[in-house]
Amino acid sequence: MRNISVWCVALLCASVAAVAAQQAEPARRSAAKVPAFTAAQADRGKQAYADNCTGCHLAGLDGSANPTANAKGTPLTGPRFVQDYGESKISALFNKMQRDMPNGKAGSLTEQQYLDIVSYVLQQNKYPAGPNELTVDAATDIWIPGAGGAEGLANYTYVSGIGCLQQDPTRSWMLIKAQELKKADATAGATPVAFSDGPGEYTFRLLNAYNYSADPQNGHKVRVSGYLVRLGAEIRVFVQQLQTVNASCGN
Amino acid sequence: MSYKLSRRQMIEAVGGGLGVVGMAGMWSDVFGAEARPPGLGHYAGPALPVKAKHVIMLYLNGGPSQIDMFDPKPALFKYAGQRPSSVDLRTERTTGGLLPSPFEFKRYGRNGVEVSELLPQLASVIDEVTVIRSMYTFNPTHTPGRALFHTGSVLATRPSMGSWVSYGLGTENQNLPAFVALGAPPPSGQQTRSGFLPSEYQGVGFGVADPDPEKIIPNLRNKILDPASQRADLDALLAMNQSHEKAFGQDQYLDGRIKSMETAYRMQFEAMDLFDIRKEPQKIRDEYGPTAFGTGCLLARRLVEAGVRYVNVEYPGGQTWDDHSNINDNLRKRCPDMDQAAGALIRDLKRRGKLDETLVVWGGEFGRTPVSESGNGRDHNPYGFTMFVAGGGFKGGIAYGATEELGFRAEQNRVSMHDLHATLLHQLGMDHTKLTYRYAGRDFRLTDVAGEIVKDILA
Repeated sequence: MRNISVWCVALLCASVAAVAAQQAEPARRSAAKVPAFTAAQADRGKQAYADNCTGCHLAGLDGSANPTANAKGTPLTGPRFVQDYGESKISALFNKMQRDMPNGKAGSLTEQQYLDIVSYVLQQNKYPAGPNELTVDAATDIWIPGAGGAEGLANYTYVSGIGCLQQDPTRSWMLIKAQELKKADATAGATPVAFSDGPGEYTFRLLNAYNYSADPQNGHKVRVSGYLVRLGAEIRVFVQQLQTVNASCGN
Repeated sequence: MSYKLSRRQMIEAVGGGLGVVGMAGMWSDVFGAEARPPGLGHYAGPALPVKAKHVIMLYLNGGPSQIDMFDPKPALFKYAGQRPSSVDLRTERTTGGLLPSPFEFKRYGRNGVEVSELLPQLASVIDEVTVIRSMYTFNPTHTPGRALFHTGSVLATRPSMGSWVSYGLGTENQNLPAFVALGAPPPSGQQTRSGFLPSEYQGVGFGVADPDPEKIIPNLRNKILDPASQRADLDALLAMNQSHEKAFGQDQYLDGRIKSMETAYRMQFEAMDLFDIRKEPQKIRDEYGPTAFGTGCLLARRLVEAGVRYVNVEYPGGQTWDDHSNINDNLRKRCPDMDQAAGALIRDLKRRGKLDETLVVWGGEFGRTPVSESGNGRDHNPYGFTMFVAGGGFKGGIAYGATEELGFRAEQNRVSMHDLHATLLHQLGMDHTKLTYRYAGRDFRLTDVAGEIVKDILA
């Protein structure tokens, strides 16, 4: 009898875990390192790096992490690189270089040389080369994944969702019975993301909803658009649009 | 203003503890509650209306993150991960792109002040709180920043605000130090230093890791000599010291030591009961929480009620709020007990009718950057951050000033540390330009040569 109980509990746990994994799955699609530069650009960057950066950051880019070299430059590869620039856009690295580097001669290289060096640094961090050169505009659009690589919809992706708007006892606004969040276009006038009619099974906490007339829409079926926010395992939405789809939300 | 204690003053001060307290009562009867009895403090400037008599400074060492607690910045989401030129400010360490706060803000109180989900208890008393979102300093490093916060100067030699306040106003209770600092470990350095002020105005540090008063004040009770014998010893010592001064001239450090010994002697009769927060009803202790910061806040309330002029309560653990990495996890672990104790303190003071005469100040030496460090932390930010003041004639229920769109720099109604110090002294009835001490050939002030009273936040 005891064995049966144990098996039942184990089965229940497995079921709960499976449901949890299923619920978490939509947020775990790969958003790996994306091609942001060409191989030729990285080759140019290698030369520019050798001419301007190796004195402090070393040829292996390990800088002060190299125990034998007594180098002063911050490591530009390995965990420290991810720590410093993970979950940032490439422009953060580019701007830092252009503003402060080379040490003592800040801003002395051309914009193209800085972009080439950034490309080389990314290549040395196992980023794949692609068909397009890295430009200043592209650098502001492309993310450097965080530790372990960001998975699923990246943090701060603009998303849309549909579900029932409800205020919980602590006055937090929640989107309940919500369908899976989908990546959306933040541009004004963009075609709205399509959703099916039925209720979903997700719940999301909505940040900033009070700035979008949430009170009169309490209990309505609503379409929400905004930025996806991760806090631990929880996914939230920082609201930028909140519109009633239907004044009732079924049961 | 110079400090010189005559022999007569010395005898009055050290010999007449209860007498002086009695005199304070007499002056109060003669001049009314707003008047300050002369002789208890050294402030000699114009007598401003006294709006507050005590200060409780809640110090979050390390630099708490305003962006995650009091200063919501929706635009950070739009520019997440980017580094526009407007935020390309020099920081202490390497920083990356803009990092939005993942925490929920809601509007609270009669004016809808936005407060983060991390601080539900402080949010519940927001109508008593003046949130200043436009604080700024000029130093991004802890030690000088801490010095500026507590002493008004980045130099490591200046007196702390508690010393200035107790020097200016004296104490309301001769059986206790005028200036107390609570923490775990006991605060020291910039948080208690009297600098060039007489050493009797130095803050007395107590550890509050354990609420047992025998552990907070070890060895206070003399287990060998009874009070009369101790009194005889101290009188003999006083006579010898006076003889020494007669021969060699007055020495303010010796005077300070004598007064400290006298205070310690008198503390035996009051402090053990006062420091025993276990005498509070369990309901009250639960409200503050069973933590060192809870003990510190509850003890601070008891101390100001007993007449201590200035209590600094440091959040335990040293430079705890210095979240260079893992800031979201760290704040979720650390905010609840801070929030509970700070919220309970304001609520409790209000309930007991003491908030009107007590300034509760909250903050750190700077805030934190809107750009990320280590991908999931924030670097030091002296350009713009938040502090708050409750009670003591501040308006309450308002958020004053603002940082720019991305939260890096104070932009509207900027408030410097000197401005805040000047405003706090003003509420204590002192003109900050007149609370001076002559040292090394010139007059010094807590506010150096700066400081404007921020009248818009006063009731």
